[in-house]
Amino acid sequence: MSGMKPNIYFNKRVAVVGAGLTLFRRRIWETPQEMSWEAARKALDEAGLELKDIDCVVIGSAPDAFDGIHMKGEYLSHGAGGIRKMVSRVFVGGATGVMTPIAGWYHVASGLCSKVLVVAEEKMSPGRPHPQAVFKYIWDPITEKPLNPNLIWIFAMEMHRYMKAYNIKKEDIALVSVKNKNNAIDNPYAQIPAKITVEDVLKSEVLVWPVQLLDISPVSDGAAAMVLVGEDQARQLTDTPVWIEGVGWTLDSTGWPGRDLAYPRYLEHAARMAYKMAGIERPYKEIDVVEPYDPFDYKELHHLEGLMIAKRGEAPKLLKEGVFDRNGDIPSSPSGGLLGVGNPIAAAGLMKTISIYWQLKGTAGKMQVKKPVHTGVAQAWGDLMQASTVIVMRN
Amino acid sequence: MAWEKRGTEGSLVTWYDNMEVEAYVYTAGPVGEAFIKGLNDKKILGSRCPKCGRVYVPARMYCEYCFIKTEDTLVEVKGRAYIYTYTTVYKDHYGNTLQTPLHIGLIKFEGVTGGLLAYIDGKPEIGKEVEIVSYGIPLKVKVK
Amino acid sequence: MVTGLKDEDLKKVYTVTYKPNAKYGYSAGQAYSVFLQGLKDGKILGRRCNKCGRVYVPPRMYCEYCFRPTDEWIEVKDEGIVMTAVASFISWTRERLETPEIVGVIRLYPSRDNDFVYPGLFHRICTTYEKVKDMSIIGKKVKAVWKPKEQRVGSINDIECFKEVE
Repeated sequence: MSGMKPNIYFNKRVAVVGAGLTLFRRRIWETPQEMSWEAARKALDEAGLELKDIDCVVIGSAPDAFDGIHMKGEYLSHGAGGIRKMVSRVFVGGATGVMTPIAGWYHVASGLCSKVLVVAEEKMSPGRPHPQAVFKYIWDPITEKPLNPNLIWIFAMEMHRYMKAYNIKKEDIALVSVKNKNNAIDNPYAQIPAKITVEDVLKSEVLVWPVQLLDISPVSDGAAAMVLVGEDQARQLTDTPVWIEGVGWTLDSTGWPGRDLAYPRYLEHAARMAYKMAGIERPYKEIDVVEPYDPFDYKELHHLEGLMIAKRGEAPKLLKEGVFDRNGDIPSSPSGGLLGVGNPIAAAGLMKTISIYWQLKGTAGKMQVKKPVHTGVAQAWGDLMQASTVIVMRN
Repeated sequence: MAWEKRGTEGSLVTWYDNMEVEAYVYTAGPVGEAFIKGLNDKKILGSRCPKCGRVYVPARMYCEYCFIKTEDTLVEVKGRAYIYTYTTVYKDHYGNTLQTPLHIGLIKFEGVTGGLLAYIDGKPEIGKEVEIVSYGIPLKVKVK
Repeated sequence: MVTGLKDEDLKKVYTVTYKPNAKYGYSAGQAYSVFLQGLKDGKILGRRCNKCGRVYVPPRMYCEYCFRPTDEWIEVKDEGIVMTAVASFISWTRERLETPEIVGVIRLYPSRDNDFVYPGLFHRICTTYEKVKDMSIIGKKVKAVWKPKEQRVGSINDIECFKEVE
């Protein structure tokens, strides 16, 4: 990963001009296609465009085995507005939700398309007895799966390594869950907004120590969509375009038992790529609002460190000081994050990107952060603790 | 470059496993549900796009061309049902020979976008009209 | 607007239930075939890249950093350091477990404390919930507890667990 040399000279500047979300819920009656359609329709409406205006469609969705439909990209395509258009589907595990707008970005930045519809969907509810049964198939079938793992194990292992390496306490981590679930109260799409205390988190059911029930995001169904256009189009469509100014993504080794888990170096590499492109030199000073991926509460802290917004092991301290509150210096997960809004995998990452877009546009409603914002970052993470995707936006 | 291979085909290990998901439970959504109810009432229901007039079977919530919601009230499809294409199946999923070969066809309806899968009784022929013998998924039809 | 359903609502709406019946035969390939045989013999085998010196456990026939073939088989110790450990109160289908299952990552010897990449195994750890909870097991030296030779079949489960060395 050391020799990374992204070409930062691209053909066109890319703007976000519309976005849409469905409600995030534990179980949605509508089909995955219909969920995609609702999100895509809302995004087109916000952009003031019709499907005929769109050149390319990028679909993001995590393993087919969640919805229980193989070739999910193809299955979703007519609900995602893909018929008779250039359609592709991207998948990088949990990092897919931010990879989807990144893929949309390079469709436009390269000059290939001028207007792209980006749609992410996940339906976790069909699998029985529990989506956990599906997650078992992400492990190495020979050296890992025979131990009967469940997904929470790896994250619990990473969390404990992080806690041990930097001497971090559970109650400090629990504050993330308290903050995000509380932020979600102002998010009309949220599945589990709540006013809770650190005490509630520490008393909740122990799933895989150190992970407890309230440390973790729920199982969700949901969809999200976004419209990206080139600079020339953006000026015609809106007075307030939000620009995608940097993108970055990296994958580390699948051999996670053979590398240190205390620090997410895969994220640092992705962030460095995105910051270089966006001209960010001091992330902790230049980033006004951030949506780090928070399927687990410790993950938000871990990612704030990988994003170099906090020093290694110091994110909990800043959290305690209120830096990451909605009214703080660097509001983090003002949407309520996955912990409060829900975690339909690919759609959750795109929801975070949309949250930053709405913040920068000033249309986040009750979620709007107090301080004026100019630069925002959304990030997602996935696979066996190895993939990270970062997007930098400015108004 | 040398690539050390110790194993040969006979000595390499194969690791056997099952996909242990108990089941998937799929929901049809409100429009899908109305379509299924229609089948129970021995009706083929379609959804109409208010803009382009396409009628979709099975009924769906949106028009994929105009990308708008279809009309709330489903319309009963009364056009001629015919075999658009068909195939004859001689073996089951596991490769066992079927006692009686099975005709499976895509049934379309005049003036309708989409179609339904069906078991076909009689000698199938592309373009031939069929009569619906039983309503369900799949349909059962008889060549007229 | 999409419609959220509660568990009990599922009985009221039309559903289709399908059980997948997928059976797989995974080829263990060149590296894992030898590794599994090694486990049967009570040895943990790794592959070394002589260019960068990294040792891969579980083994790989290529070095993912140098992107060249690894060079030789080496037997690593069945001892190492617990890097992380967790206690699971749920099964892989999310059923409640009364006694927690303790698993973690073991950095095997030869390796050094500050290595970012090392020969490592994900496995069960025979210890108490208390030692996981207070994190005292992390950083401790452990050794593999092997199944009796006649019960070993060439599986990661030929090792019962890793247990603290007194």
